[in-house]
This record gives sequence, C-alpha cells and structure tokens, in this order.
Amino acid sequence: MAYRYAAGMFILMMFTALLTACWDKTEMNELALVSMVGVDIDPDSGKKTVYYQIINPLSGTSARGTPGGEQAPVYTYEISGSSFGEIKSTIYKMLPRKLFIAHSKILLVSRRAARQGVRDIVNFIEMQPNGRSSVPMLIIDGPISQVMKTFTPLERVPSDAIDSRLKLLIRNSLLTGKHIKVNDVIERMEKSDTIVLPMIAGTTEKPSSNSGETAADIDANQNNFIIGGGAVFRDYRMVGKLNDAQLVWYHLLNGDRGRHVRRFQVEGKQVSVELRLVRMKRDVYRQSDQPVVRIRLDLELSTTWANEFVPRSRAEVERLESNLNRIIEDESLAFYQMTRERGWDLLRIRDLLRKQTPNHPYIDQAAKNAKVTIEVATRLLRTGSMNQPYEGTG
Amino acid sequence: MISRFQFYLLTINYILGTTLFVLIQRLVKQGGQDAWLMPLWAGSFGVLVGLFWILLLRYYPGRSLVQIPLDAWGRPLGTFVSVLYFLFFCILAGWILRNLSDFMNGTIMPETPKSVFHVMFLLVACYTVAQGVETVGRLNQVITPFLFFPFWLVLLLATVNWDWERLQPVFHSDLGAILQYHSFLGFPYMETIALTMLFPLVKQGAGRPFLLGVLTASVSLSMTLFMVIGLLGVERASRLTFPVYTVVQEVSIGEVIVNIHAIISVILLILIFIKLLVLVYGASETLRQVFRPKTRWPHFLALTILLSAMALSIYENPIQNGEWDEKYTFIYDSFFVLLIPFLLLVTTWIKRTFGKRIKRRMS
Repeated sequence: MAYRYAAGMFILMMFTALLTACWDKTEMNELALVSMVGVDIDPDSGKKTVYYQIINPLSGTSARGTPGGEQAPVYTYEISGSSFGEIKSTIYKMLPRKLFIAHSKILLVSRRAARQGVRDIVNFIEMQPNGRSSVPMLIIDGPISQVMKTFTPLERVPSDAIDSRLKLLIRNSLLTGKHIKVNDVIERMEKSDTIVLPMIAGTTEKPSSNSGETAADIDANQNNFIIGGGAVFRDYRMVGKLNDAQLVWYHLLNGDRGRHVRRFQVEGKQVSVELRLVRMKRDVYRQSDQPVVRIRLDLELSTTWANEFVPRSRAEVERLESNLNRIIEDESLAFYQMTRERGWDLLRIRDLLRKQTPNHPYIDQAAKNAKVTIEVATRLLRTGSMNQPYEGTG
Repeated sequence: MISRFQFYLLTINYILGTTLFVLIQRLVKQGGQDAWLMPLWAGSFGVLVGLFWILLLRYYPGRSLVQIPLDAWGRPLGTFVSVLYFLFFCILAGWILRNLSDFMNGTIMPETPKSVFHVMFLLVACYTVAQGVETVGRLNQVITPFLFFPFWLVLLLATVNWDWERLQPVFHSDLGAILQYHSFLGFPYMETIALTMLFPLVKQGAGRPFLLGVLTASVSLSMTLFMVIGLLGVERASRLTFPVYTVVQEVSIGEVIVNIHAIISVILLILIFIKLLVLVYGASETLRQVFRPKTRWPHFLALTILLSAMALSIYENPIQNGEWDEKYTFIYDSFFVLLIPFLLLVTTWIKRTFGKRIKRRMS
C-alpha cells in the first residue's frame, strides 16, 4: 500500500514538470509596463516610429532620497522600422525587459500620421492578443517627440495625467466625449461614419527632460501639454479640425452629457450658464419625398456659475429659457451647416437613416440632402448658493 | 447511471463547449445584427435530429449507438460501422483539443507548446472517464454553477459598453443567408450524436432532457450573440477571433474591475473539458462495447497518444479550420448523423416487417 502511495506521489510530482508556467511565466520585474504609446509615420518614406513610455518601477516614494536622487517616473523609448510588426522585434535592441502593452492607457498619433491614415495603426493594435483597443486615442498637434518626452506636474505619469484630464473633461465640459477610444474609431470608420478625436499639444517648445526639474517648477504651464481642439476623421484619415467652440455643439448633438459652462449674450446681458443634456431624441420622417431628421434636445440649466445675472422671477426664468432655446437652436444649426458644407457627417445622419429607413435605395444621397431640424427645450433646474448677485450701491 | 438533470446539464455544456469561442465570429459575419436568431432556428433543427435519433434508439432499448449496428447488421459489418463511429468521436475530440490550444496560444499563453495542453487535458479526461459515467455526470453538475454565474456576471459587467443602436436595424439582415449557413447545423448540433452513447445510462429516459438541453443551449447561444453584438457591434465582432474574450477584456469599471478576461478563459477551458469528457467517453465505450477488453488502461493510454497526435495534425492553422467548417462540416457530419442512423432505421423496419410476416407464415 505504502509502495503504491509513494508511486502515486512520484507520478504526481512528475506532472509538475508539465506545468505550463514553465513557458509562459510572467515575472513583474521582467516586464516593461507600457503606460502610453505614441505613433508617427513619415509620409515620404513610410517609416514608422513608435514611442513606448514605460513605467519606472523604482520611481515612487521608496526611491526618494536615494543617492541617485529622484528617479524619472517613466522612460520613453523611441524605435523606428518599416512596419509595426518589425518594431516588435527590434525594440529589444534598446529595451532590457519584455514589452507588456496590456496595461497601456493612452494612444497618441502624430498629426501627419493621422492625415495619412490610421488604419494600419488600429489594425495592428486590434490584432495583438494582449493589446487593448479600449484606450483613448489622441492626435498630437505638433511634434510627437515633444509630447512623448514631457513630464507632467501633479500627476507624475503622463498617461495618468491625460487619462485623468479626459475623464474630468468628459464630466465637466463638452470639449471631449466618451467615444474617443480605438474601438470607437474602428466601429465608426467601418460604418463609413465620422468621428472627432481630442487633440493634444505641448506648451513648451523644448520641455525639460528632468522630472525633478518639472516637479520643482511652480509654473505648471511650463513643461506641460494641453488638450484642445478636435481632429475630424473619415475613412481612417484626419480630414479637418474643430475648435473648442465647435466641439461643444458636436458633443451636444452627439448625446454627450458633460456639464459645460458657456457664456451667452441674452437680451444684451452676458450670462454664464451650465448646460447638461438630459435627453436626446432623433427621428426621421418624410416631407415631400425628402427625409427630414428631427433632433430634439432636452437640456438642464444651472445658474451656479452665473455671477453676472440670475433671474428674479418665473417670467424672467421663462424668458431666459426661451432665449437660450433659440440661441442654442441657431448655433447648433449653424454648426450643422458648417459640417455639411465641408462634407462631414458629424451628426451621423447617414447612420440614422440606415437604421430608421433601411430600405432607402440611396442612403448616401439622402443623408446629404436630408433636412435637419433642431428643437431645444431648456429647463432651469439648479441655482447657486445666492439667489441674486451683489450689486453694490453705485 | 446518471440522473435526467445531470444529462440535461451535460447536453447544454457539450453544445456550448467550443461553440462559444470558435463560432461566434462566423455567425455574426453571416447574420449581421440579427445573428442572434441563428441559434434559434439551428436549435430547432437540433431538436428534429434529436427526435430522429430517439426514434432509432427506442427500437433498441438499453443499447448504445455503436451497439445498434451490431444488432442490425451483424458482427462484421456492425463492427466496421462502430469503428467508423470510434474514429468520428476521435476526430471530434482532436478537433476540440486543437481549438483549445489555439485559443490558449492566441490569448494568454502564447509560448506554451500545443501538445502540453492536449496531453494534460487528455490525462485528466481519461482518468475521469475511467471512473465511470457517474463521475462525468456529477463533475459536470458540480461545476455548472461555477460556469453559469461567472459567465453571465462578467457579461453583465461588460454592459457598461452596451449600445442598443448596434442591434439596429432589427430583422433586416439577409434571412436567406442566415438559413443557408448549414455548417452551424453540423457544428455543434449534429455533433451531439456523441451524447447518444450515454442514452442507455440515463435513469427514466434520456430523450426529454436531451431535447430540453438542446433548446436551452440554443437560447444561451442566442443570448450570448445578442450581447456580443450589443457590446462590440457587427463590424468588430465579425472580425475578432474570440469576440467573447474581447468583450470581457474591454471591461473597465472604475480603476478596480479591469483585465478580468482570465475568468472567461477558465470558463471556456472547463466547457471544452466537458465536451472532451463526453467524446473520450464515447470513444472508449465504443472500444469496450465492440471489443470487450479485459483491462482498459492500455486503451486509455492509446487514446491519449492517438488524440494528442490527431489534435496536432488535424489542421495547420485556424484559417483551414474555418474553411473546412464552412464547406464540409455539414456533409461530413451528415454521413454519421443522418445517413447511417437512417440506414439503421430502414434496416430495422424491414427486419421487423419481414420478421413478422415470416413468423406468421411459420405459424
């Protein structure tokens, strides 16, 4: 019996040699954890350059006060090649650890690469078994190496800084929307839709390459980058740019729900009102054989930030609401006209027609000729801590 | 003997087995946003085929699929047909083992040699099967809640990325193309013939739990497809190799629930293991019932060697697998699943009719 037991134990122990971890073991200290990826393509030679920003595991509180001083939170590796696949092999000429991109948070693409087309880039990301296409994609307005080699104050890892800023912008403004990830790009482009991705630019021409210097400088505008503007994409190519004012209407008309504060001129008075989309309804009906797209926006208003003017009575509230309804309708329609003139279907009219009138024989033509009406209904639902601003005695 | 409920669960898990990660992409490609309808009609076909087998098996109570040819066609021809079934089960087992190693190599274990997965799974499967059908049934019963709840939980967590618009326009795909996709009838529904090896071992009859299992698995597949389309959209789901895996891979709730795809990997591995158990059981029982060996372990050892070799050589890459599946699965499976049972049924009818007449004349 004891002999059989020993034989059984021996066989079991022999099986441990077959444990698969022997081939695919992953030790944390053998990995290069990529936090951010930057991609650039030379339009003339087609040469691809990839920037991997890799987290330095030694940076952090434990490394402070060491003889070498404070360490950089990330290191940027720059590598070029004729294809992205080739770069996967040649990166090890410089990188001493196994590249691990599953945790990367941000993808940055240079403007010239975006103009040329990002299809190769998204295909490469989507094909990687451990690549994640659920990361935001931003377009760099300016030299890519500058942004990839900029340390950020406050949030020490640049990818965390961008990720955090995007989340705050999505919640507190209409300058960025939720649909900015690589998978959103793929989905929209495959449906022949358009998409607008946020843009990022450096604030300093020659940022400091010393993280300690950045951390010690009081001026946060130095050695930093700023998110602003939007890159319009159609068929995987960047075809134009929106400014911040246009981005507000784009995101509002696409159903984003950030709380955006904007100053309006109402009856000769300036008033800063916070807008938030509560509900959006888009439907299609036919009018003399032409499709008419009706977009209805229900907006919540807040005067929390209206230090210039707060309505005093119900009549004033109603007047403010009706004035804002008209202004927002006019500006939204003006935005739509601008996009139509440029041939950008930013309101995704084609997609709407495809879903609601799938039997239409000429969807593309119908989308171009569709009449768009926008109805806005605002409701003042929130006020600040004062029911009237101080007016002084003068 | 196993209970009807155990057999019902076994049928569901057998059908879901490899289907969840081999077929989803192809179904979405074929059916577009209405692909979730496909398992419903294919499941109806599965039920019809099931009824056909039940009809045959009712003529031979207590006999398994490989014993019926021996009874109907005599020892030499019956043995030949039974050996054909043995090879059919082996090929299916090799196929799913290869699907398994492809999945592991393509996702979380790219470096591990394929044979390691094959041999490790086969060793455990042979050990389980050697313990008898009760062990297979109980193991599946115990493990099913650990598959069902985590699977739907991770899919529900993924609904943060849900968009109803991805399913529109509804009922607007080419229904003809959906109905023409015959390979879906072959894999997985016609492959359920391996489960008929367990029919005589189910207490109080296996017919009803089998048919209910086919229906439940079809509804589960339909719901999974519905969720995959709503979460990824037709454009991505029809191109990604493992859409269910990607759905879970992209779950990100706050900074806490991220990278939870290991859960789905484990679920898929266990589902495949259950399918493998049924097929190994089918193959080993065929050998036992036809050749009646005194000791069984040499057969299990031989099966391990045969199946691991078959898994390695059955196809070279998933592209070949896809092409075979689309072009030939239905025809190939039809031979074992429709033609042979049909011939057996005809033989049985003829024998019974003529047998009665001869008896009458004799009397």
